[in-house]
This record gives sequence, C-alpha cells and structure tokens, in this order.
Amino acid sequence: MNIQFKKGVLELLVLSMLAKKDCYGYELVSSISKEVHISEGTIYPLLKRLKDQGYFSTYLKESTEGPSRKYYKLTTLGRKEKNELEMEWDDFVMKVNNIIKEEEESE
Amino acid sequence: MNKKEFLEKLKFMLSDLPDTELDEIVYDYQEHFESALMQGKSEVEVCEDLGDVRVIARQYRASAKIEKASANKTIPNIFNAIFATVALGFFNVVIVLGPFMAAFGIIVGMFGASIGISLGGLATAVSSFGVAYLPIDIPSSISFPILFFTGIGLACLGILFFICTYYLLKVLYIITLRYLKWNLNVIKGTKGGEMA
Repeated sequence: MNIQFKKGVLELLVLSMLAKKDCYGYELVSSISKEVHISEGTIYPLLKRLKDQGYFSTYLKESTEGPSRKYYKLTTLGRKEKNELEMEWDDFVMKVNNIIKEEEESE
Repeated sequence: MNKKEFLEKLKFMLSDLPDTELDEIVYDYQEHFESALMQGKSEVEVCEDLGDVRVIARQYRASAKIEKASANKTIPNIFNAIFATVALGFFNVVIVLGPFMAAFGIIVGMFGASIGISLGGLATAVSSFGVAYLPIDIPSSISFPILFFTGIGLACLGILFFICTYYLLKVLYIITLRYLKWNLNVIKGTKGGEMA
C-alpha cells in the first residue's frame, strides 16, 4: 500500500482497536504492524500525541507474564473522534468504489 | 543496535525535553522491548522493527515544540516549532516557510511604522509647547492647539495601528500553528526508511 495513504489511517486504526477494548502499547503496535507495513517505533509518538489531545487515558496493570503494562483507554472525546474518522473513511471508500465500479462498467 | 544503544540515543536526542516527558517516552520503549523480547525476538530485531531512532526522536521533538508554541505564544517558540517540523523532512513545510517569513517581515515592518508614527506624533505634541511658551520665531499659521492636537492625533493613530498589527501577528501565529499541527497529523506514523 502507498505510504502516503497509510499515514492518515493510523489514527483511525488505533482508535478503532481501543474502541473494542483497552490495549497496551505492544499489543497495538504488533497488531497494526502485522497488517500494515510500518516502522513500529513511529506508532508510539502517535499514541503520545493522541493521549495529549485527550483521546485516551492510560493506567498501569499487572500482567501475568511479567512487569506491569501501560494500558490505553478511550475517552468520550476519543470515541467521538473515532466515529467522525470512521464516517470520513466510509464516505471516502464509498466514493472511490463508485468510481472504480463505473470504470469497470464502461470498459 | 541493541536495546541499550537505542534507548541511550533516544534519550540523547530528546535531552532538551522536560524530564517528565522524556521519562514517559523512554518508558514506552522499555515496555516495548520487554514485551517483544518475551515474544522471542532479539534486541537487534526489535530495533530493526522499531525503525530509525532519529526519525522517532524528530517526531517527538516536533510534537513537543508545537505544544510549547501553543502553550507559550512567543516568537522564538513558533520558530522552534517550524524548524522542528521542517526537520521531519516534509517539503510542504519548507514551502510554507517562505510565505511565513514574508508575512512575518511585513508585520515587523508594520510594527516599525506604527512606532515611528506614534513617536512622531508625540514629538509634535511636545514641540507644540515650545511654540506656545518659548520665544521661537515660527510662522503664525502654526498655532499651539493645531500642532498639539495634530501630534496627539498622530500618536493615537500610531497606537491604533500598533494594536491592529499585534492582532495580525496573533492571527499569523495561530494559522501557522494550525498548519504545523495539520502536518503532524498527516505525517504521523511514517515508515522511517521510506520517508527519510
């Protein structure tokens, strides 16, 4: 996938994952990098920025396998942002699909 | 590169950030290393997956500088924010730097002009006392009240001009900040190697 394209989608990916359940950093990073080819290290600056913007809060929780982990939890503001981004995304995909289908029909 | 080198380099590149910020950032990568190592990855592998530490550090720096410029509206702060964002390597920021500098230059010029007009007016008003009380030979058409009120009027005009310019500077500041933030949102999460 085109790199320019991936960049804008990352925020939506993170917010969507957190809308389902609270996650710790590595969980988010490894799930995203499995699907989208991206430097794992650049997701953390994004997480910090979104946290600073108030989209989620963090808390520490003990893990069964080792030291405690920092979990990210979506705030009301974050949920609102996620819904808006998702709507924009759906709208975008629909419009692109319309054009692709038109092209195919005219061929 | 191993874990220690990665963290040391990150700390070094972010050493001018507040300690609390830096601790939080370093903590995230420490936890990342711990989790990834537990999955059976080697330190070198983890570093490779994380990507270029310089690119990561630049992203934190740009965020931090923009935050600082938002919280603390000073001219040096906005310049730092612009340069930190330009350091991310996005050409469009370089493009905006030109118009920003031009607009900034014009505003500085307007400040100069407004101060000049105010001082000129003030000097005129003060000198009118000379006309009134000192035995200076001046054409009779220039009387004390005309000179005095013209001076005061000019000074007021200059001050008004100054205030308008100040608001203009504020608007430029806010627009620039918004543009920088927008850039950060567009570029966040870039693959280091591909962009840099």
